[in-house]
Amino acid sequence: MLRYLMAHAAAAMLNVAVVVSLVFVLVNVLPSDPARVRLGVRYNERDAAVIRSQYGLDRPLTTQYLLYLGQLARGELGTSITTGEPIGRALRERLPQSLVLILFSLVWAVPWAFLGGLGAMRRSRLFGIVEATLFSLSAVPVFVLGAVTVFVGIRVFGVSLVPRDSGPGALQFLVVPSLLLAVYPAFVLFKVCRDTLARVLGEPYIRAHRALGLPERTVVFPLALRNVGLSLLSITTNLAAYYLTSIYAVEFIFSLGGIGGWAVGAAQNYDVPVVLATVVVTAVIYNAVGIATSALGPLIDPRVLRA
Amino acid sequence: MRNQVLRLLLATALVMAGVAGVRLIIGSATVTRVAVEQRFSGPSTQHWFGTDELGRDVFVRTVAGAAYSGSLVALALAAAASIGLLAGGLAGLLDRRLLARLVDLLVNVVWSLPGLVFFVAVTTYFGRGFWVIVAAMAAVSWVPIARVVRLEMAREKRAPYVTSLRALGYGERYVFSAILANARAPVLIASLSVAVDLVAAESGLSFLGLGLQPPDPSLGSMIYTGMYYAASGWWMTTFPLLALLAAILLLKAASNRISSPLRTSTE
Repeated sequence: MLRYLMAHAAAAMLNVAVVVSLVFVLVNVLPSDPARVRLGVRYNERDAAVIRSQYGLDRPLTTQYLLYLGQLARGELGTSITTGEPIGRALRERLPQSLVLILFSLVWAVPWAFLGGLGAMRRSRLFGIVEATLFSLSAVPVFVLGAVTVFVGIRVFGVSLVPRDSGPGALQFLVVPSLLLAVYPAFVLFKVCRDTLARVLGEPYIRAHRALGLPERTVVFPLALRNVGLSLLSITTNLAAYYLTSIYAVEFIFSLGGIGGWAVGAAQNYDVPVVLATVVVTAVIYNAVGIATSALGPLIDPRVLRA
Repeated sequence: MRNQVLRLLLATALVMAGVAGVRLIIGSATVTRVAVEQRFSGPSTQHWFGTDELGRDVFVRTVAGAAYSGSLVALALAAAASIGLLAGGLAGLLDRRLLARLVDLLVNVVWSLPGLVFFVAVTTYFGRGFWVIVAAMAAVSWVPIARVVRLEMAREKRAPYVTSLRALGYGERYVFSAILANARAPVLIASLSVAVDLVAAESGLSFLGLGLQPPDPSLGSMIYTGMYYAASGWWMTTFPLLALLAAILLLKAASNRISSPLRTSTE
């Protein structure tokens, strides 16, 4: 167990280390001049020199790399070049807002897992229709769903769904965005639970348990659920990736204060330090979710350890 | 089955050729021609899809945007498929050797960062040109294809026909291409699902203002402007949106259709 965990943690840390180093290479080694990109047609040597010293591009590479690693270790991610704000502090302010949005959307999405389970046990055409509807809706990118919602809000109902000034904690502004964010997870949860449970309930060992007259609720059902748990675990990283990227569009459309909308705004202003910091933070969060799911795996199914 | 796929590919090629043809007829000057006195005018015989906030023709811009998205995704996909075939094929063949491990490491690293986050970073750093976006998308999209090819390779290389080919004295290069030829179907499936993702990612990037820059049109940025000016007219968002939805749903349906019979036959 410990060895398994160590191996997974090491692999995840290696991923993060490579991403972090790639970010550094991107900034410092590749022949691109962010000063030129940022200034565009307004390029002149004096402004370019100022930008280069802001990025620290005028120091030797090894020094830059070590400085960069040291800063990361201390949770310092540099300062934004458009607002001058320390990135670490901005992240601590914005990360919780994104988290609230994601949790809110999970509140909408998780019940569909139970509906999917119900769909596996009761043969009804209704569940097929539900699945087909969710499938088509989830095929639509979330930014399109958001744009359509805002558009319909204005054209049909004459209301602007985008708050002028949404401070943190204004939960009513999160209702629509979280609903939109929940469409894809709802489909995935519904489908995975329905498919897995339907498959497991048809397997010989379940039939054998039933034939032995073992009680449905205390023996058969928990056995089947264990398999569903494993399937759910396998889609967790998929959902994490979905949320980490979808908050970009949703927070941007509804001008919410999370890290997604922040990253988009920074990218529009060519605020390289902020954008690269979001890359590092995303990689860390995503890999942490990966470690967590691989740690839970053997608890549900010990066979994972032997694989 | 093979017929269906062929017909589908043919239809896709025809649609793309049609868009490209209309795009060529239109020419570049009309796409960005501003006519402020005609701004926000609804669909008419003169402007089939109406005009936008600067009086530019929405039909012309929708076609140009579709041509832009289509060519970008097609190029990125072609590059990704080539890299994926080569990297995955070699890794599958050479299992456990240094090159294979290197491919595995790269696959893991790319998979440890959601694509969009990477695209945003790359386009912020290298600028928002056509080729930068193509390169960024190819750099991420070869991974799912390489994984499929690698698995297929690892399984096929123990098949009797491979042993026979070797016994008959065929060279390694011939054997490699023979196995690759057998991996066609899974590669096609993987490529189609990559195509869906790329169309969504490209339009999403433009929607966020991080793709092709104005005044050049792309479906994503047109949807955004249309949403912004929703009160001034319904046509600016609706037409590019329908074009994008049609592309995504078609690709998605196609990838579903060809993957379901194949999956059951291989499992």
